[in-house]
Amino acid sequence: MKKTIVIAALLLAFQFVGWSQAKKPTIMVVPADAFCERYGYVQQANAMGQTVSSPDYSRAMKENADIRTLVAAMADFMAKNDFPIQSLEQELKRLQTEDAELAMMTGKNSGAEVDETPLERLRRSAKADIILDLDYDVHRIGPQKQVTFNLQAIDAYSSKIISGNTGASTAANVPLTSLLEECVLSFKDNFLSGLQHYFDDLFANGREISVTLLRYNNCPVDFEEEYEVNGEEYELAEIIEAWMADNTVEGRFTTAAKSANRLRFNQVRIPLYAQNMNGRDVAIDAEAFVKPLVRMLKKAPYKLTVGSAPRGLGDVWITIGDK
Amino acid sequence: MLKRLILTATAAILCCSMTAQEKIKQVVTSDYNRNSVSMVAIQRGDSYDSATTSAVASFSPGEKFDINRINTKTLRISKLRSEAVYQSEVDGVVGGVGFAKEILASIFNRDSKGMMNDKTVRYRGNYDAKDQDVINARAARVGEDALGDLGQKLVAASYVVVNDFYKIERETDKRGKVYWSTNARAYAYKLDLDESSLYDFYEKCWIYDEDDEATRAAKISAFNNLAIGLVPVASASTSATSSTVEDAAAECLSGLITGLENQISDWEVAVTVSARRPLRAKIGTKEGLKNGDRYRAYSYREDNNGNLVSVPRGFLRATEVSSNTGMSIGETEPSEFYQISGLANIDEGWTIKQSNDLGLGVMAGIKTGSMGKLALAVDIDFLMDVKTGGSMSYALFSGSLDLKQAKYVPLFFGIGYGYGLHLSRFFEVMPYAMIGMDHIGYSSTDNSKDRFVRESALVLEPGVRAAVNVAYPLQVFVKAFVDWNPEFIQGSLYKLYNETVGHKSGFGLQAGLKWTF
Amino acid sequence: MIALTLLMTFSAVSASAQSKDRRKSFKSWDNYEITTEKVGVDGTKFVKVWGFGKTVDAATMAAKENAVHACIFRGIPGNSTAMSTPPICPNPDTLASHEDYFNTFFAPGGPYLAYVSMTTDGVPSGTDRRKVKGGYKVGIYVQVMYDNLKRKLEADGIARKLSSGF
Repeated sequence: MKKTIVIAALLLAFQFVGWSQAKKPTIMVVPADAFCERYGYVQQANAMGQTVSSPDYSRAMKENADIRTLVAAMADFMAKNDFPIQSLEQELKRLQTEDAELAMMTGKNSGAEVDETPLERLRRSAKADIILDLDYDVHRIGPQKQVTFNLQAIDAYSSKIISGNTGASTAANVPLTSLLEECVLSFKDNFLSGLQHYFDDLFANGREISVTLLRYNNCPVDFEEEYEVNGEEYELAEIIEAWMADNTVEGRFTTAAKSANRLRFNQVRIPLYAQNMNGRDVAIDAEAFVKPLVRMLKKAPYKLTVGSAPRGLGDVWITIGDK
Repeated sequence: MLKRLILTATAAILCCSMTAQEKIKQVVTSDYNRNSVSMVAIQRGDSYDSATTSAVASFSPGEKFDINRINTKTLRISKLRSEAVYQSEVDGVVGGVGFAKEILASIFNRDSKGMMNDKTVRYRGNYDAKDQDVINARAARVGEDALGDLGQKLVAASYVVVNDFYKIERETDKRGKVYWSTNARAYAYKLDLDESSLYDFYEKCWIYDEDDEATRAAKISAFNNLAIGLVPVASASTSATSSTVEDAAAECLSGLITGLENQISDWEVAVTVSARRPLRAKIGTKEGLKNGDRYRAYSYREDNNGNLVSVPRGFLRATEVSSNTGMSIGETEPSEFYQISGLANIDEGWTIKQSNDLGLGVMAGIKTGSMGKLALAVDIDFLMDVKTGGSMSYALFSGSLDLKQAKYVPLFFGIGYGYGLHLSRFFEVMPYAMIGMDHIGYSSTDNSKDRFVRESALVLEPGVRAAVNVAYPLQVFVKAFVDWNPEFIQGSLYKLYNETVGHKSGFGLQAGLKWTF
Repeated sequence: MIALTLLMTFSAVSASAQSKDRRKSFKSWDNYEITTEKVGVDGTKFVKVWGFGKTVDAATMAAKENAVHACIFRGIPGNSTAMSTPPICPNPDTLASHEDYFNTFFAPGGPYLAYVSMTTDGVPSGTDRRKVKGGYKVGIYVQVMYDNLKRKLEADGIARKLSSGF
């Protein structure tokens, strides 16, 4: 009973303006990798014998007062536009406590190929819909200082750049905070207009995600396995494509790769909201979107062992043959 | 044939476009920023070197200039002082000195370790800021802190003025008093620095606190090898006489600065009129403004092609000079002006630009009256003071020769004071009083010492002069006066000759043309 | 009664004539220059804008109107240190669909004046005050209260809020 409700709800949950008050996308400012690299806010980690460096956000936020100035200035104007910015610092704290848990969860995976980068993990954990990737640099021209900035608003689902803003402040011998705030005021309206465009597109066409299906070697079937549907024989891949066509906004998606072991869909447009089992509007991400598909594959006639692992908000990997 | 036609047409178009470009270039604007100068003396290797050098060293070019204190205060050109030095000779020695380095070291307070700062630049930027700059800064996020950075563009407005004195001569008057006269010539050079070369200089030579030793050494060496030159921009000449060589040289210097000012447009103060009735503009002592200084007004229009054209309008003179030698806070006290020419009333918003003159009116005309039926007269007036209401004080000098009795050479000389009142800028009425001397120098064999006194008579002359602008600086004037020439202040010979010549107290008229220089 | 009818007809005709005039001017209302001077203090745009009018005062008023017009319909170009500003109403149909609103908004002495303040020191002067065929062209420095203007248009339902739809 529950399942039918959820499936039914997912089918047409696409909201239009004014029909019901929908949840606002959440926004979070994150220092750009290049910035962390330049100022040495990186941490080294050993992953499968290779040393990988990744940005150390908590150190960047703690040690760099300028980036806090920028975030505060941006939070100020976003709040004025009714979009409070999520605090990166708070998210980081929460993540730390989650880390132990997460380690246990990865232990569950026998495949363990699904690795998330710190940013992807942050995105997923914070559930920020839009990441503001912030980079700036202070140049000195003799006695004068000049700030150059690069702010990219990134759709956390599709990793596509919504709005890019680059520029330079006045060159002057004035307190750095003045120049930083000048930068924020400089790109503010252009940035907001970029967001507006993005929201317009979101309302009209839904969110964009990608879905990847993988087959483990121990799986008895592959994507070319045929099943009977309505008296006809169809390949598993075709059945999955049909499900996608039924569940995406106006059937929009692209099959990027299709083989016996692998299926990849991108530019998958999913509705912003779906009703949950209690009939309430909830925002859905890639993982929530594919949940009904996962359930379908677990049932007869497929009876597969299916696992799904999110990579951020806009990418989900479904594995058959193992979890 | 066709070829020639095309060639001619092309040439004509080229000419047109060139003159058109020239015209666009000639737009007079109200942009004026402070300039900085360094005064340098040329030494010839003779005994006058010390006097001329010390005159240059102690000379202050005035409030409107900032001074760049540089180490090189003299240049050596070995040439006899009887001749002036030529531009090419000065160019040669100026090129051999690293003036640009010295100027930049002075502006950026460079110390022995090569460290520099922008204190002077920021001070100058703040000091140069106009009210509009201050208001604009308040409207901008970076705010008034950035006003000091306006000083960056003043760095390029650095000049070196090289002064040479020649033909220094000793003269002795009848009483045995010694005078010195000298000719002087100044050559002005401008620092050849634009925005990109300044940034280049910062990049290569500016040492930051965290620079390591190797970087510091590289930057110091880059500074020492700095290849920024000076470009000659103008020259001016003058001469003066005084009781010492040093005083004569010092007197020349202010004349040289005025002469250079007339040629270097960037040195001429320009500002917009902030109010009319009375005319006001936001300049004052900071710009070296003095009472009576002449400015020219310009308005702007766009021609049919949309090009901006500045239209010269009338002239005006400074009257009440405000003391504005402080940092602007957006409410600078304006100075007052009086319009002296031009058909249209000068309006608020127009640009006025410094247009130096001597304030010297020279009049030529004829005179008739009881002191001679027909005399040729030359008058000079010197403008001493101008008031906002249009009243002007003049020092007057007058001279005339009675043509009817020319063989007696009856000459009149007078000095006086006049107070001109303007009913409008076109028309001036000036009551005046003059004390004069009428001299009848009939040739005789009398060689006595007091002969000149005995041939002369004292004359008192109250009168009124009316002048009308024809086309500034040309005026037509009429003078009506009374000459009082009583017998008791006449010399004995004068009395004798005057029986024939016939000068006596009475009414007189004079008319002629006046040109103001 | 007849007088009243006549009066009403007359006023209706004159009103329509006025709005026709206005429409004409709205249509040709693109011929002005505006440049960003610097990044303004929070919530404002600091621009230099030009206006044309029979007298200097009329041209100054026109320039103020132009500044507000640019913020609403045209956007303001950026410069080396200030990014461009997008228009508050990017939809080209906004003017046509809310013509009455903007007629009132831009009426002489209308509400638009609350969103613009001139920062030129005194009167437009120097090269910013040009005699042209038929009048004067003046350039003035102004601060446009861009954020307030945006809030106002959002509140009046002319512009969409960023959060509308959520």
